[in-house]
Amino acid sequence: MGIRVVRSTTIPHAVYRYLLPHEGSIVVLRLHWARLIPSLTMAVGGLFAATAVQPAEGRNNALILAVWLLAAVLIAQLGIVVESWWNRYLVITQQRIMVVNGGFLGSGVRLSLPLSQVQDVRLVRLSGGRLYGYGSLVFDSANVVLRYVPYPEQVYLEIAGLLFKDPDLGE
Amino acid sequence: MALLLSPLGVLIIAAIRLLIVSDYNMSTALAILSSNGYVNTLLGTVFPVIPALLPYLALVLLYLNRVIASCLAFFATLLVSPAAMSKAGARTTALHEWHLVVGGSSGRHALLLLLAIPTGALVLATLAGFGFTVVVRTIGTIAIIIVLPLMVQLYRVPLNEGFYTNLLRQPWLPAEAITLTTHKTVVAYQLDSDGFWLEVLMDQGRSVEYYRMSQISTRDICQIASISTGHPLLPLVSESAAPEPCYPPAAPSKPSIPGGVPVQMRNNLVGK
Repeated sequence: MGIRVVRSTTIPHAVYRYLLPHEGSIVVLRLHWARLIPSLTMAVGGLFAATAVQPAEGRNNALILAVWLLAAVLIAQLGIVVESWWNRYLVITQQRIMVVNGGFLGSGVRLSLPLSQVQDVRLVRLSGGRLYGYGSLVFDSANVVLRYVPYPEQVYLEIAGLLFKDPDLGE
Repeated sequence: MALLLSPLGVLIIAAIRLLIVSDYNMSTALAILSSNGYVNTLLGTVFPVIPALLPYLALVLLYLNRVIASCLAFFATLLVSPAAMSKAGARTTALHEWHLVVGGSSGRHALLLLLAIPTGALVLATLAGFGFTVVVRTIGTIAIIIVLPLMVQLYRVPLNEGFYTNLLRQPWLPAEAITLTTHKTVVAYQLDSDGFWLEVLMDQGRSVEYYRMSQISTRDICQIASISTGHPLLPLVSESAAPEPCYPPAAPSKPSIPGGVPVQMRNNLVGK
């Protein structure tokens, strides 16, 4: 099976500005889209619920406004989650693992985990992850869990390869 | 929200309510506090407000994905919050709501179907991918919108007629109509008594007064304002007779003031 995770040739600007000049062998990924599902369900469900209870007769305007306001909040919440997902990258370099935010709702390095602090990595795939194709990477030594990692096996192998280098290759 | 429900939040709410009950008079507030005890005051200031706010607290908790806490709050609402209608009325209203939802034109039905299919599919996708807990939270959040119209009718949002003003100004102690040996009747709340002196908080003016026990001829529990006259949907005990009103009902021609009766009538009552 071929590895689907390819090393980035074009690095997003949001990521590029946090990279050191000597950081090479970079993998840049967005987190898995499955994390949008609960928010999407709430937004579409909210729209459905507001349409269902909205009949004009027998309703006062304040109640209709409140109902649509609640639905609008759920839709706005979806917008924020989508924006956050679109602009958040999982970055793996030879020196560290980073989660970088690049959106206008908040940018910066959310997580910077030097590989020197990582002794081991575990891959956890629950039923939902197996269904949608994501997994969780657990770094016990650093007490960090990365959820919604796409192509989990490949990413796991990439990180494991960085942690446990082939002794025959040397430095 | 977390701050409001935290011990610090409860303490702040209690302090605010104590000041409102004392007509923003710090001396009166401190007198109530020292006479009534810190724990009694803390619980007393917070507890009476809970039944009125419980239905909306349940909705907020549901929105914040606190499903279990919200279910408990809904259950408590059924048991203690005064409802605007009887159980039969609630059933009729729920049926009416349902008819409103399923009724309407064919265009509306088509739109509902158009939204129901992706909603159902997404709920299934959430259930399959994220498990029962997440799907319950998701459905709970959607359910707020469906439940809100029914909740508003069952537990009316008391935004007018000074409901909250009355609720917050009403002390948590039982009001008493105290008739003195001089045939003067005052409405007050007992703060403390040592057998010789009775320390009371006057309903009018919210000042703290002391009466000799020998000066008092009768004391009767009475009801100041009709704040929680409704009964919960699932009362655990049979309805008991409400205490007599502290003040006679206002004359229909005269405008009443929030929380009581016209001042002139009160003055007549206290025998001035």
